Amino acid sequence: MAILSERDKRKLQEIFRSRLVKPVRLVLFTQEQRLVWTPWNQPCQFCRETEQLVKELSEVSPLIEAEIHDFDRESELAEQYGVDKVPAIIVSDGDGQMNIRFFGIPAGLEFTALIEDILMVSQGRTNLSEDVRAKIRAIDKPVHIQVFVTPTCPYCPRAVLTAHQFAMENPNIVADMVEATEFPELAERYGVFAVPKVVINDAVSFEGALPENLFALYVLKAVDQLSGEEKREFEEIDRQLRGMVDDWEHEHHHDHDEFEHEHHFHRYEH
Amino acid sequence: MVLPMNFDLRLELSDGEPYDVVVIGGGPAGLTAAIYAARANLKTVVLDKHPKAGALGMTQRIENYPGIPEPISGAELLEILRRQAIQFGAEYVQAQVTGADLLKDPKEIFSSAGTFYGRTVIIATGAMGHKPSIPGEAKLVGKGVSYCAVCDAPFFAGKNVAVIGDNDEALEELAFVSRFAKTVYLISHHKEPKASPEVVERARQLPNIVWLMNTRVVAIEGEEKVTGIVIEREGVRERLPVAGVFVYLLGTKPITDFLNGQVELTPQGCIKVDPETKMTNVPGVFAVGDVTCKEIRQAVIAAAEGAIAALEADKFLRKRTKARSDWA
Repeated sequence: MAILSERDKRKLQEIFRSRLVKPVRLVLFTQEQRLVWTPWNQPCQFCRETEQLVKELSEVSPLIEAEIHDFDRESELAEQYGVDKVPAIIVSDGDGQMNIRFFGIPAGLEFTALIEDILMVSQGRTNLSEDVRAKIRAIDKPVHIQVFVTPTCPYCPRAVLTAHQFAMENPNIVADMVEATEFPELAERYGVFAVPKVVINDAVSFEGALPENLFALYVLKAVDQLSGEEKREFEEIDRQLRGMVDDWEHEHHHDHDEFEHEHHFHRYEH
Repeated sequence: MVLPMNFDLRLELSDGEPYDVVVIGGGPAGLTAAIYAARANLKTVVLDKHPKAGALGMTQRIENYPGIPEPISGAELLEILRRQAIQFGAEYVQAQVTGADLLKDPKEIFSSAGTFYGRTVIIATGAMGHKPSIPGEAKLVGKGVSYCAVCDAPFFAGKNVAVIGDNDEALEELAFVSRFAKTVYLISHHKEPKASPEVVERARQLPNIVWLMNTRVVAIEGEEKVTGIVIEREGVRERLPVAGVFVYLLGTKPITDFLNGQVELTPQGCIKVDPETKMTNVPGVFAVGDVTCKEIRQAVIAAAEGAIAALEADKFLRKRTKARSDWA
């Protein structure tokens, strides 16, 4: 059974024909079905489907190439690429760029993120503003951004795309989509109960889809590269994101505000 | 654990072609803005979370809207406004707006239906946002308290959860939650659910729902994560162990979360606008209706403001084209 619908295939053919520039390589790590699984070696949930998806995408355009590896048999290569779980897709320019990655199947709304990434890598440019681009390019330390998502989360693709654009601009940055339901131990380790959740260098994290300029401040914070002014800006934003909770806690709201609301909309009915 | 995941691939790719006007919100303010903008030949799109959401959408009966002498429901009035906007060429998209980048040109609006680009943006999201008000709620956001079931329900697979609220949105999301959770407690302080009859009927068919009507949630408990809630009915309190709480209560808070502070607000959290032009502190971004906090909240006033914003957006766009040709 094909994963791509005929309708999507036609739409993609059109999009790829008009918007792809340079070839894109989808580097996939997958795992074979096995008969015996142990608690420390769990089956890959969606490897087969992800492999099928990558193959079908490569058939839609001659500029998209599928490079498929086996996670177990090619463990050295996996290690070299820093792939520690499957399925994994790296959206590569085929010329050494390996820092835009998807762990878990890019299904649901994340499919759009994968397509946008293919277009971005092929066109060799991001859509970041000049200001943010300059800040991201100036980062000279290694950064690892993990964006935890679920396939049905409407807030998530934007967070993934922002992280991937940062990686596109700076080879010091590796950015991952992590489909949280496929990697429950990882989700648990980072306390993910709400998505998108962004974890940067295991040092800084936030929840929600922030605009790129604010997202960038968190990345700069993680590598301690905030300027004096940016530091103030960051603290203000972080205080707002977390501080909001405090404000709400301190205000003693008598009751559900729904009642207050009902009072208001009755005023429509004079 | 095998999750009841579906593999629908959702391709929501924009062609990148900007709209002249992106209207956020499909209430009287937003739809009237769309009518005026589309009629002025501006390429216009309305992004609406739900055709029955919002203060007017939930109003049972309206008798004083000028030009409509017979009493009709708010939802019917909105249907008429929608038809009128579409007739003039506006596009209507049912989509939840999740974020925005208003400093870019064109401005970017992110939604469940993909990214929309706008030379101008009119914000008309209303003021029915909920402000955390249940003891323990604010503290546990992201730790079991969620406002987005489609985002977070998979984290509660096989567990007991609560959904608080009984409007259309709550009951529609209930179906998604019930696919993952073991038991879902649907909690409402009304005697009967407020959602439309067909939505209630569909929700009633779901197998693993316990309906707790005429019931309030008086506390959400837990330190690092949610461990339970305390409910109350007719003076009797009871503790219910749950791992997740999805809150769909309505309130009176202006809906501005998706702006992440990019637009100046008043200390009360309302969007600040120039009283004449309805423009915010961000050039080309306008705000109208209840989101700007009105002394009198009436559909006709929201509609009038929508008209003003559309005409000002038109003026703004013309000035810009003129300025550009002057430089050339």
